[in-house]
Formats: sequence, structure tokens, C-alpha cells
Amino acid sequence: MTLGADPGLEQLKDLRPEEGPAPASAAFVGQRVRRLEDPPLLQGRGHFVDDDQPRGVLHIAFVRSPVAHARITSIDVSAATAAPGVEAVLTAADIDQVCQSWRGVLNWPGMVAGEQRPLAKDKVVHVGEPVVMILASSRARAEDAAEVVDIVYEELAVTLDPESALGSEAVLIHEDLESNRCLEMDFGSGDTEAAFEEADVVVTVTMQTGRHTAMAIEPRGIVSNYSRADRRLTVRLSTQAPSMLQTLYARLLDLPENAVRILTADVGGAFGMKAFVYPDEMAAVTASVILGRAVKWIQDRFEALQSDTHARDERVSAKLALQDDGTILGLQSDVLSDCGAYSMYPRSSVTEGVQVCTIMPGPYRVPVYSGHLRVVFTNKAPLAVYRAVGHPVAILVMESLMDAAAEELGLSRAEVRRRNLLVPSELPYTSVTGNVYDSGSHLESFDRLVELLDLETLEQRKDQARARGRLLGIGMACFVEISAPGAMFYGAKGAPITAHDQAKVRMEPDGSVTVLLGTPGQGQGLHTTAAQVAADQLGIDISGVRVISGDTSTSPHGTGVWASRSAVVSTGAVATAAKQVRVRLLNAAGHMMEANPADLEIVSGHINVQGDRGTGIDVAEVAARVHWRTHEFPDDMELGLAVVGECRGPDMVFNNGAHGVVLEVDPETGMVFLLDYIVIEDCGVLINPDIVDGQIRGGVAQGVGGALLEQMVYDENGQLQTSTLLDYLVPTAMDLPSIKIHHIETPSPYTELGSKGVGEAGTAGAPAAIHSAVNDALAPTGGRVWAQPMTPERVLAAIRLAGDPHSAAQPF
Amino acid sequence: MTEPLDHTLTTRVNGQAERALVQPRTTLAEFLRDYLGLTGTHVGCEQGACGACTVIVDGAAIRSCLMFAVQVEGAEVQTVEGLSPTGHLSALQESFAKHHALQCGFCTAGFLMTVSAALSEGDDLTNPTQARARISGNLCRCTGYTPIVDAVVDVARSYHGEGEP
Repeated sequence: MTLGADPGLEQLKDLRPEEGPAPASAAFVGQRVRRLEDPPLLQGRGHFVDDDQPRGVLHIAFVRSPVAHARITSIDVSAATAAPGVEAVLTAADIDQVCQSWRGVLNWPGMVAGEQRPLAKDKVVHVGEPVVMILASSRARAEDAAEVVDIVYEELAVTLDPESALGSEAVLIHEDLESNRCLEMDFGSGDTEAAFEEADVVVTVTMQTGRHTAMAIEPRGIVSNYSRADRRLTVRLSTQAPSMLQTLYARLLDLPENAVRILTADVGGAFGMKAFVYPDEMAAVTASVILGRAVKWIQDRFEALQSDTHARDERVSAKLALQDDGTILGLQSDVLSDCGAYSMYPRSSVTEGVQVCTIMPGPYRVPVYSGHLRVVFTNKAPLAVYRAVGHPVAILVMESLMDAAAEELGLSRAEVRRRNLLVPSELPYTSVTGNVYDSGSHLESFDRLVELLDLETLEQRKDQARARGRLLGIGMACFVEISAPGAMFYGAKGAPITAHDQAKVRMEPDGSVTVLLGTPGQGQGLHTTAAQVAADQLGIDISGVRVISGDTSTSPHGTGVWASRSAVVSTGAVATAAKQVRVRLLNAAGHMMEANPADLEIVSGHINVQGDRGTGIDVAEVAARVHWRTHEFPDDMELGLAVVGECRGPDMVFNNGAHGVVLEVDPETGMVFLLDYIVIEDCGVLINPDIVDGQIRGGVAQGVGGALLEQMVYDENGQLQTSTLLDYLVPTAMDLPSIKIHHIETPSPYTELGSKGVGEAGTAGAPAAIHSAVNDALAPTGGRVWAQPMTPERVLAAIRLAGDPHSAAQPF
Repeated sequence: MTEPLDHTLTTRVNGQAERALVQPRTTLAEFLRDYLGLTGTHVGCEQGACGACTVIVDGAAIRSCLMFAVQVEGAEVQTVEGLSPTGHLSALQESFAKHHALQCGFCTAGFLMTVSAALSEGDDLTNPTQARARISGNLCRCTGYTPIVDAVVDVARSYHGEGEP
């Protein structure tokens, strides 16, 4: 089974964008244009969910389960209902009359999921699951009332280990399912048994990655209002996928979709976490329908850590078969993904595990592969998708195998990689899991990295560090990253998530332009890149373009932000729309100037016959005429200067690159200090280099967090121990070095602008590079770390147990 | 509805006198955002860890989620809105834009106020290491911090204590 049908090379060629007139100018795409988003944000005039305070709004507080697995015996809300300022107290009994339940199931073979609803009914399955909802005149009063809700729980055995969750003694978390297994399937192709039999060398790694979470600085929040007068639901929330929620809220509440309006202005970070139907948000929406008024809920950080989707909790055992000369013969992996208590809706919670399996071959020539995946339920908050979904773990494992192979074969880490990295003559390349790498610079980017890392002086630098009592290490990781995947990810699997994006480009009568994006951003500068593309296509200055997004009633239908797609499909949609507006402008201008439109050009807002800059008319004049003086134009000429463009994008495009890190370990404390970080990145054509660099830096930072700092810790009762930011550590300014970024631009032949997504590439490679460096630093001690985060305790344990022949195989 | 413990707060925010009826439990962040409508100050954790809510009270950068409104009785409070009263970006804000020091913008006000306070106190932020240390109490999840450090160093080098940053 492969992730998506292999479209075959012939089909890919059919998806090449149509040849059309070249853009009027290339003045803005490719430039470090200042962001349109910045001035309001810098002045404190952004518009985030919590900034809305409708008159008379009711504030929500939830009573959440304090236990990991229990039956709900009784709920007594009498004291809460009588508390000062409380307007309503709702439980599942109230909510279920209006809102349907759901299951996060996609049509992967054999996949099952537990039923989930806004407020828990009959039982709770993780600490933090919402049970009762209080609506009051203020958040403070709602929280006061929440404290006097009396719930009696009959606790059940808690399941926290995914391996034992599958055992015969395991207690079922979802009693209507046969087991705690969500999905089990195989990936890859070819005869791996034969490959391993004939191999000269086989290396094995067993690794564990720590459960962590997106931790966006803006907590989740929602303001929902249902008007009984016109039966219309209006919801403002912090989300990545407003059009998706328009559909899902309509379905769950049995409303027509044109009665549901989703508003999303500024979003303070999302990273994949804000792309779901969350039970608490759904409860708030339902409450507004039941009460016919505005309600508001903003989560606090305790709730965020307890209930936001988690990520990266995988155990992987993998083997690599090689010839004596370092050529890879085959790969095998066994992946166990800890799903938490629910498969999140509608994307499900298996994508991460699937990608750990399918991305693992990476940028290498791997002829045969078998990957085995199990995704298992436990009594923890649900796992879902988080920046680079599965890639960090896949690449961590593969790069660890390559390092182990180098050691076993007596080759350098660089050489074993060089011998297996793909070269341009092999592209497009279909990996053994069906991923098609359309273009790229896999070997070239690595060679570039090696050059910059100056490995010749490595031993010398290690000696110098040792003299200061520190262990120095260098790590390298090669990666690929999928971007802009098409419908086969979700739509084809039964989820109401579209893969194509739409944008509207509208020229006003005075020649200024409004772009309406179907997909709003969460900090990646989508408005800016859209303006750059529109300005270039129309031949006007970027100052004449304003971008609006985030109202499903007026914006075109959008795919949302996920899987690094916007640089491909959002800008693709804008380019398509702008091109068509340009055609209409030139037709009208041609009529006004009595010239052939094909002979005209637009430069800096002025239309003239090519080569004849002195004559012609301004764009503004044409725009005014086609609005106010339609009688001057032929009856059959299309004069509307507003067009909705769409972009479906290819099935997928892949970016590639390499990460390198130099760090020091303090063997006394176990602390790791990052000294130098280099990223070689090839994401095709850069629309705005500043924005691309920003995405890489932010991505690396989150990768560093996962590698060294971030871990959700549950105790043996399923109690979340890391519920404040003093326990759950994310990188501060002191934890990150300055990241040096070098670009290679291999245009994708299959996207409108030759661009590829890049938002997740920084995160994809960082955990692997850092892991490689730490183990390189520890090599003289004989110790190794096999789990992340590589906390000081783990590093010290590795050093302490060094030399024990059994310890190298155990994940610390 | 008023309660016996409600307090009539008199304070100054961004140079303007303000007077409001608050509860003892009302935090400074809530007062600024909900009572005065100054929503530029953001709340990221209510645990005093992320620094997004940083404002300046009597010259010092403080976490407004950990301070009660009543504590600013008679004090001078500055928020991000006070940095650009006429809609023109200050030199510090300009530097942030120039260096791509913000992405989602949710943590930005906290950084601006932390740095403002530091520059007003005469801290030398022209050195990247010191600048990095000074902002280490503010969390950002988007930028990886280096662009923020660059922006701070850039403006510090051009700021010689003449006027507000």
C-alpha cells in the first residue's frame, strides 16, 4: 500500500501549467518585499479572536475530566446553575440534542476510530476532556461556577503504553471497537527479505521520540453567535481551515452550509494544531445555537497543554541493508504511533504514522522497503498533525541508520550519504513508497553543506573543545519534504477537505486592486506573497494591491493552510485570477487605443504598445471607463474586472535540502549548546526570500524544541505533569543560534510559478541533525542517546552507562 | 452589577488619564484589553512565562497577566499602542519590519515593550549576545528569534537616548 496512487510520469507532464502570456513584469516575485501584514500587527492593531467582545456575550468555562479513564456516574450542576452571573450550564444531554457526534476515520483499510462528541457522555478517556460547560457574564464567574460542579467518576484502568494497549489484558478505551488499534498497515514494495539476506552489512536502530505539541503563543479561542431571526451561524475562531469548518459545523448541526459563516482574521500561530473540530470549540458553537446568542471561549494555557493535539510520539525500530561499498540494498521499519484517546476529526490521527513510514527512504536510492505501521489508542490527549508531520521522525531514523552504517562500514558519514543520494538524471524519481520527487538537488545540497561545515578541521575543533571540558559534535541530515499534496491525502480518503484553492482578484474603478484569498494565514505572510504575484501579473505597483481574507461568506472557497501548500496553490490561484483580469484590461485597452491586445504591455500601471512607452493609457483610466462608460465598448466584450481563479496543483511536489549543526555537550551537566546551524534549502522558485527564510528559521526552532526540550509527561495515572510553560519548555532566544540559510532554486516543472512549499522543511531535518551531532559528541565516551528530547538526564545516563554492551540498544 | 470590593481605579495609560470600576481580581491585562479596548497587549499563558503580555509600568517592563489592575493605581502605564500614537511606525517598529522580526504577530507587542523598557533604562543592546539575553524572557514560536535580535541591535545602534525608540 502506498500513500497515494503513483500518477506516473506521463500524467505529471499533463499537469504542467498552461503556457500563457508571461507576467507583465517580475518586479515583486523574488524580492524581499516588506510584509503587508506588519504595520497593523506592530502597532497592536491586529485582530485576534480574543479581541472580539460582543455586547452581552456569554463567557464559557469548561469542567474537564481530572482523570484519564472513567465512567461518569453522576453530574450535579445545581450549585453551578445557581452561582452568581451564570446563565446556563450544559452537559452532553443538552448538546447531543443539537449536535451530532463524529469519528475521525478516513478510508484507510481497516481504520477505526472512537466516537467523539463535544461534551463527554457516559465516560471520559483522557485528562482534560470537556464534560460540563458553564456560560456566565464573565470568564471569572464561569470559572467560579465550574469549581462547584460535582461529578462522580468511577475510575477505570488507565492505558498509557501503546504496546500494552494491544495486549490481551488491555482495557478497551472505546468499548464499541474490537481493540485499541486504530490502524495497522504496511507500506513499501519489493523483496526486502532477499535484500537483507544478500547484504554485506545490516544496521539496526530503535528510537523513541517524545510526545509534544504545537504550543502556539495564541491559545485556541472562539466567538460564536447564532441568530434565530435569520437562522444564521457566525463563528470567529483561530483556525487554519475556515472553509473546512464551514462544512463540518453545518453537517454536525444540520444547517445548510450557506447559513454558516466562519470568520478568521489574525491567527497567532497554528502549526497544524488548529485544523480540526475540537470538542470544546464545537460545544461553544452548539451552545450559541441552543441559546440563540453570542458566546465566547478562550482557552488558558493549562487547557491548551491538556487538550491541544499532540505529536511525534512514536517508537521506531528500523534496519538498513547495505553492500560493502555503502550502496543501500533495502530498508525495513516498524512504527508504533501513540494516537492518544481519539482520532481527531476530520483529518484523523494516522497521517503522522503514515508519513513516518512513507518518508523514511528520504532523498536516498532505496530499492526495496517494507514499513509496518500501528497506530494505537491510549488515555492521553489526541495526537494529530504538527509541522512536518512524520518527517522529523522518519528522517531522524534514516539518518541514524546512515550514521550507524558509516561506522559499521568504516566510511565517513558524508561518504555513505554521497553514494546513495539521488542525482538530477534520476528525477522525477518515484520512491519505493510511491512518493514522486518531481525535481531537486539532493546530492548537490548535501555537497554544499559539507563544504560549509569544514569537516577537515573537525578533529582539531573537538580537541580544542575537550581542553575546555566540552565534547564537540557535528551532525548532518539530508531531507525531503512533501508540499502541496493534492486530494489523495484527505478528499480521496473521504474527508471534506479540498486540495485546490481559490482566490479572487478585483480591480476597483480607480485601478486599485483587492485580492480575496480563500485561505487566511497564521503568520506566513500569505497576504504579502499574494500581493507580489498579483502586482507582477497585472503590471502594477504592489502598493496598489490590498489583500483580504477570512470571511467564508465573501472569500472564495479555500483549502486552508496545511502541508506547506500556500506557495503553490494559493499563489497559483492568485496568478490565475490576475492573469484573467489582465486579459480583460488589455482587451478593453486595445479597444480604446484601437490596437491589438496582443501587442500591448503593462508596465508600472501604464498600458502601451510594446516598445512604445511614450503613448498609451493608464490602467486607472481603463478601469474607470469599463465601469462608468460601458456604452463605449462592444456589447459582447466582458468588462468585469473581477475574476475568481483556482489552482489545483500537482499531486505533490517535494522540496529537499540538508541540515548541519555544530554543538557542544557539557559532560558534567548533560546540557547541549548549539553553536552553529546551517540549512541548505531547495524549495524551487522563491516568491519572497525573507518569508522563506523566516519559515525555515521558525521550523528549525521547533525542531530544536523537539530534539532537546519539549516533552509531554503523563504520570502512571495518566495525569499530565507538564501543564504550565515552566514544565513544558519551548526554545527561548538563548537556546537557538543564528541559523545560516543557503538556497538552491530548482524550479518545479509542475507548479504555476515553479515554487514549492517550504514551511515545514526546517522542522523536518532539525531533530535528525541535532541527534547526529549529540551522538557524534558523545562518541569518545562510548555512550549514545536513542530517544528525544535529549534532555540532560538522558545525555548523562548515556555517558554513565557507556561501555555496557546492552545499553546501546535501549532508548534512553 | 457592582460588588462591595469593586475599586474605582485612577491611572494613566499611554499618557491619558483613565478611570474605571474594577474588581480586585481583574488583572492589568484584562483591564487594558477589556475595559480600555487596548487589545494590542496579548495574553499567551496567564502563567507569567511567555511574556506576550509585557507592558511598562512606571518605567519597568512587567507581565500584565501577573499584575492586578488595582496595582497600577496612580501609576504610568505604557502599552504597544503608545509606541505609535499617530499611526507612523517608531524606529523600533520599523526595525522589526525591516528585519522580518514578526510572523504571526501575537508575541510582538511583548517584545516591543520589553525592548522599549530596556532602551529607556539605558541598557546597551548593541551587542547581539546582550540583546539576546535581554529578550530571553519573551517566547516566540514563529521566528526563531534571530531576526528579532537583529532588529533590536540595529535600532540600538542608531538610538542614542534621543527621544523615544
